[in-house]
Amino acid sequence: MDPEAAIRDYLAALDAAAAPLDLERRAELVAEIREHIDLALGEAGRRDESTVRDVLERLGSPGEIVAAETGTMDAVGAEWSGRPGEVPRHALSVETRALLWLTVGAVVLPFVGPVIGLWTATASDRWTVTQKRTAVLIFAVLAVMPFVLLVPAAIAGEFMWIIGSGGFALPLVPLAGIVAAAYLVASSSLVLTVSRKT
Amino acid sequence: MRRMVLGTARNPIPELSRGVVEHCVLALLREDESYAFELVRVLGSRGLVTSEGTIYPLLARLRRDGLVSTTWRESVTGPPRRYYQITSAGRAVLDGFLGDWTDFRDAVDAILAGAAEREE
Repeated sequence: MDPEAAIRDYLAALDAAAAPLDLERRAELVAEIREHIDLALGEAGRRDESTVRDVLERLGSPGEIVAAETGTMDAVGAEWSGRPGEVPRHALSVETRALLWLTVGAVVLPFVGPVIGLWTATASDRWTVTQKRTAVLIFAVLAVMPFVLLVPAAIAGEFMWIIGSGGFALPLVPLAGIVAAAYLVASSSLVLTVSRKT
Repeated sequence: MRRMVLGTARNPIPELSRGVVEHCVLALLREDESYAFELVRVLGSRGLVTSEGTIYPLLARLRRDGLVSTTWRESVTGPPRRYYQITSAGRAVLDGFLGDWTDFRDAVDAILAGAAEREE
């Protein structure tokens, strides 16, 4: 194998193995190992296949290096989670409040309840931005649907039909909040988080 | 009985050195600053590190714990190098370890010497 390709593969494997680390440390670790390889090869004065193989073997496997790193990270994490003053400031977590607004709130206060719920959800650091956006989209589409359904009837001047059909289409509005809430729960490990906190 | 003891602790040296190497790094930095590659060389030449790459996570931990500080310096050959210096917190940890290690080593030596005498 081409020695330069072997180095590239090793560093790529290290970078992949280091994915659990934070971005800054991950880049730093790969840079440190790259520099080590360069220094070791500079010292050897050769960059041939067997020298490169020897240097990489002495480094140990990428998994081994990252394991040495993550062992530390876990220890650091444990210290942090044990710190006093890091407890949630609210009796109910952000996620629980958001879900309550999206479900109970959607029935009690159609439109307003789910909007408050979605707004509350934006403060959550457990849901990703994509998950929050998708929930907003689900709510918006389902909440707007009754009105979209009514447009053709309104254009045709069928006002009696509007009143009649509105009766079955409008329950979609609270349903929108409930479906959005169900999506947020299903799309994350929140079921556990929320049930543990409340 | 003898077989059982061998079975439970077949090769304790790598396990032991993992806990000790970071103190060796502090000891190497006690007299003078150094850079990672040099530290790896010294530890490797004494057989204290088998996988040289694992020294970098160890150094990162010492940095995070404030036991060493670092300075980037221009190098005559190649890119700038990160030099490691021991901090006062690092010296305190090292001093504590020196005492503990001496006790530990003496205790193990005494037991091993006793075992050697019985063999004779």
